[in-house]
Amino acid sequence: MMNTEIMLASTRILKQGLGFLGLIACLFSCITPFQPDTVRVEPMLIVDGQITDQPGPYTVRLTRTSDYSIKSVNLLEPGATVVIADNLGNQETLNEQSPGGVYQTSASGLRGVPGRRYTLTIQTRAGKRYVSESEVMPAAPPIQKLYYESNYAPATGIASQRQTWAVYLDTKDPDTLGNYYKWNWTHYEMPTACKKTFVASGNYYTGISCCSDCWDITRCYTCVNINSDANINGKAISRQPITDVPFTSFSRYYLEVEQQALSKSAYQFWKRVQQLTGNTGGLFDVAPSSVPGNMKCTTTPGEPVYGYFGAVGISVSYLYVDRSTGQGGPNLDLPTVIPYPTNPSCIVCENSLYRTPNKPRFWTY
Amino acid sequence: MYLLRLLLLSLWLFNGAFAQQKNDSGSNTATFSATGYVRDAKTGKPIQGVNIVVLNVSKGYVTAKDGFYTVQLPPGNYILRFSHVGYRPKQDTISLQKTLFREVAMDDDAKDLDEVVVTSETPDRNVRKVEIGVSQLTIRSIRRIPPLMGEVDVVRSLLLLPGVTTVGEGAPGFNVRGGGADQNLILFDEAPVFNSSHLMGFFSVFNPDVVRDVTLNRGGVAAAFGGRASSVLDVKIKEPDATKWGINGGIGLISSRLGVEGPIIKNKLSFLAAVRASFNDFLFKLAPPNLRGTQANFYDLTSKLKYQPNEKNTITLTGYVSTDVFKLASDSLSGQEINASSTRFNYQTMNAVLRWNYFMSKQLNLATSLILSRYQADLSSPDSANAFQLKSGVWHRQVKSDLTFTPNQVHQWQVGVSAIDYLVQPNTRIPGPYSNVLPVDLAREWAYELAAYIQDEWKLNTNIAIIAGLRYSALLNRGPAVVRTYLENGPKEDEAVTSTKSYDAGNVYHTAGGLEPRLAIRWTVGDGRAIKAGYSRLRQYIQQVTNTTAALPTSRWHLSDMFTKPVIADQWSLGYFTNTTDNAIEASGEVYYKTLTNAIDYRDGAELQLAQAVETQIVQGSGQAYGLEGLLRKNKGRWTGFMSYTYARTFLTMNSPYVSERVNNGNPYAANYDKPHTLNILATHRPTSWFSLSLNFTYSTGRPTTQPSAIARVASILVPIYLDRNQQRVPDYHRLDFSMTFEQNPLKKKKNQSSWVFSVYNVYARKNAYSIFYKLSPASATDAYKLSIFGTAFPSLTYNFKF
Repeated sequence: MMNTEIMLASTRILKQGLGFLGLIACLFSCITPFQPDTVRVEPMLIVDGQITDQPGPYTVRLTRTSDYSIKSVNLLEPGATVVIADNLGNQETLNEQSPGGVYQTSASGLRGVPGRRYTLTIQTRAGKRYVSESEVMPAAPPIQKLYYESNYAPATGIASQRQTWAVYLDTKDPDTLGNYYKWNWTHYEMPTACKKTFVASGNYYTGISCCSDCWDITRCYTCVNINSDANINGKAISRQPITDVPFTSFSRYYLEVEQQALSKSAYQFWKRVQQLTGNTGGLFDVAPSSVPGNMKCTTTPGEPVYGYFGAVGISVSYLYVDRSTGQGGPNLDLPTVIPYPTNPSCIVCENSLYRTPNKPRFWTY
Repeated sequence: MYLLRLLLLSLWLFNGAFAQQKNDSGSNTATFSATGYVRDAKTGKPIQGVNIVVLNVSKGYVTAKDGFYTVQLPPGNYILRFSHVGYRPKQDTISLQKTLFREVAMDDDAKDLDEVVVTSETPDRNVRKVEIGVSQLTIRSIRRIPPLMGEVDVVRSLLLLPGVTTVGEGAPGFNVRGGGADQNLILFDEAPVFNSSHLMGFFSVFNPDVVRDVTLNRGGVAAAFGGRASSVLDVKIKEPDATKWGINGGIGLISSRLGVEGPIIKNKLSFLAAVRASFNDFLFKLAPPNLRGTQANFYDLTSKLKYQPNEKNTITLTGYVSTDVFKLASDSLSGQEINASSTRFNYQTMNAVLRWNYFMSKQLNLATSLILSRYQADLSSPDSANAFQLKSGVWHRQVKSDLTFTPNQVHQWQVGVSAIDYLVQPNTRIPGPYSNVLPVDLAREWAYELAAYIQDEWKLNTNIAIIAGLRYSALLNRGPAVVRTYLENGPKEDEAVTSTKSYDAGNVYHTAGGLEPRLAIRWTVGDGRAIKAGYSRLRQYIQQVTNTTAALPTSRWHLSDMFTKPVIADQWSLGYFTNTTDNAIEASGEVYYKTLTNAIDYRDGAELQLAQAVETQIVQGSGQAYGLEGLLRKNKGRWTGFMSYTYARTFLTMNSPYVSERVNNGNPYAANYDKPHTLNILATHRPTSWFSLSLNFTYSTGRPTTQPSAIARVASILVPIYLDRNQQRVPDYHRLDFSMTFEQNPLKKKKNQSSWVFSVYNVYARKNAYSIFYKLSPASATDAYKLSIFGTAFPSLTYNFKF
């Protein structure tokens, strides 16, 4: 009896639905620019500086915040007395560089030594005094291995193909617990010309060559790459991602990687910064919060002051990435034509944040 | 069966006769009883909660759990009107000269034109019932709401109700009257559900094919419920068909369903099982490269066995398993500082409920349940040198018993006890076989939550009725545990621990508890008009701790203890309810004021996942929520629908003598889910019996967000400076959805039936802001971005057929 009922029921399928979906455009992460309101705040002092175990000079930049907007520029804080001192009584007063707000030690002056504690003291022109916490300088272990792997994603209906080289780093963590790391990378590349002008009619650049050897400097201004041994104490830090090398040419790609050893509080500072800069507006972002640095105002306790004075140990290594075997074509920039003669005949390679005439440390021609 | 009925009938007749004798001797107002069962005409299932109104004398009654009713009236001719949500109202004319026994069969209202679209129970229940702030949705009305991606969703439908909000589309959980998402007690056939979302929040875990109805209690929560501070969401599974076997199912792009139900022994032992699974990985193959490695799959299985050896005893066994696997191609969400090429989330709910309902007599009913609920989440990364697995979970084992005593038409007493045994495993990290990752094993938390309550529903007279309840609950934390002592004059920090004390397994080392009074009053001020007021206090001893916008499935749960105090919510509410034109038009307005004691928020830069002691990462303070909810509904005619408007505010204050335990310097600030204005409109037009069209419009103020106040440049990196939390808002949210259903003319009785449902989500393709975030880069011309989750119109088409 029951069997026949089940049989009947199974032939009498009650409901069957078929669903179709429309195009899934903009379903996941549809991101558009947004114009926020301006927030007004009292100007606050920002301290940016560090001492390392590498030769100086060391720089400290002092600025004041302005109201928040993308076009806002923080104002430099000139006329302050800035002193770096260690726990053995050595100290140096930094010289203010023109046009002001940037303070530097002398090239033959103070040199950081791992294990010592460093303090930054600032006396502003208005008479306010700011002191950093005393920062211990940890020693950085050497970079054991710097290597890369090719990544190729073929084209699909929506996205074009993508060839990159992922750069990784391995290092050995000391047996003691409480080691904190931060990695920075710098890419140097000799430019085809020191001055380029875009010719819209011909879709190319016209350029003027450099007077000397010259290197363009590329860094990541938004990356905070940190790690600690809290999870792996005494073992190897392996496959620490450093960067993705883009396929912009078949030529080799020169990369310098700096491994910094941080104090615990510096690590915590950068960890919070990483959370803030890494937010993508997604479902599971950490709620933004203020990031207190290690500076304090001693004349007006409680006055907010931002930024960090760090004491870091550094070890450096380099890598050449061979891009000749990249799949698909490189994303080349438009060609540069250098006419003869040019006016002027050449451009001086100025030393700046983005360009240098000094040969990078590990560069081979 | 026939004999039994006859026996029962004679029993009632005897009772009635006895009552008559008594009444005769007592006074000259002799009364007779009309009694019987109300059943579903098709399935024969008894219907509980049917409203019976004696029209000519305006007296009301309700059927008991087994569908039984008794109406006591002086001799005469009466018209009884039977009504219940989901059924066509029925009128019965009786001539009461002696005790009557009448069986009533009610028809499904599926084909009715005057269908109630989103309904609070029977047409006039909102005026008649005593409770305030309670909404019930049947699965049929949920199906009328234009769906997202063709998926009928229980939790999404709740967002149309006044007082219910969410932090964003696709976010897991919901917020009720200023409470956190973890402050809702979500019950699936009595078993608590610790994570109500599939696919990290897009869809809810309840299979619509097995849900009978959904009740959201956001105001006066009955004394029988407790343990969460904001609301009770009671999702009931339908009863298995006790007369014939059936198979049902569906195929969709997101998920596919298959269910079977029927009698193993006719009218005695019946069974139901339904499975729902998703196979949608291919969607991600079309996505941009950073999402192409994503995998997202889920399944859930619901089963129910019902054994009814006789009219007095019903035993049900409910089983539920839900599993989600979510793999991301990066470690963006893991929160672990371990290098990983991919992260896999895996979370699972397993519930089992054994329930015995013993209908002892017309006056006494005893329901006893054994409840097991387990929630486990795990996060893993496969890379050999850095492989790890992070496991967490909650085990909830409960026994409870409720006795209902109805001595007469005036009083209905209810008493009950409950004992929960909790085990919370915060997070355990297990390294892979060749992994450099260190193992972590956080101490498990053990506790008993005990509760007892008493409640009386008392009809003082025809106009005034009250429900007064008192609940006592307590949490008993027990060992094994290591309990810290902190420096007295300072914030709770790892560095401030002065000593620790160990407790052995089973030793109770801390108790917290208190009374939870509940009160609801209804005053009928005229025909179809009532004023209601309510007060309730709720205590919550288990919280989900997270500092992300929406809780991750792996966010840890935490039991209250001597440092984390239980959250206490006190709510006062007042409302006016009115029905006109034969319940066709319904209007109501409610105001509420709520205070939260020991509300939880997180310290700046809190690290919760692997914190040894949660109290070093959180802060507790006070909360304040108030609001006004208005609802206008049209229940009958070719156009039906409703309009609801909510004004609601929620503020938190986290103050402390210590700076690190303050939020916004101790000043009140808007909670993440504070959305002052919300407007929902749902309209359904049904010109013929085979076509209907639904439109749904929703508007709400944007939720609070935190914008940087300034920018600092440190070591060449641009760092946003945030001062106070939640001082700005994302742009306002609004959206229009639309759906059309084509059915076959029910008048043409055909064997095969089919229907088409076409729906469009976000018709005018508004790019609603889910969030505003900041990417500071010297190379970019802009730094503020708006993220939209569903930034386009989203059509879906479903074809259903029956044969």
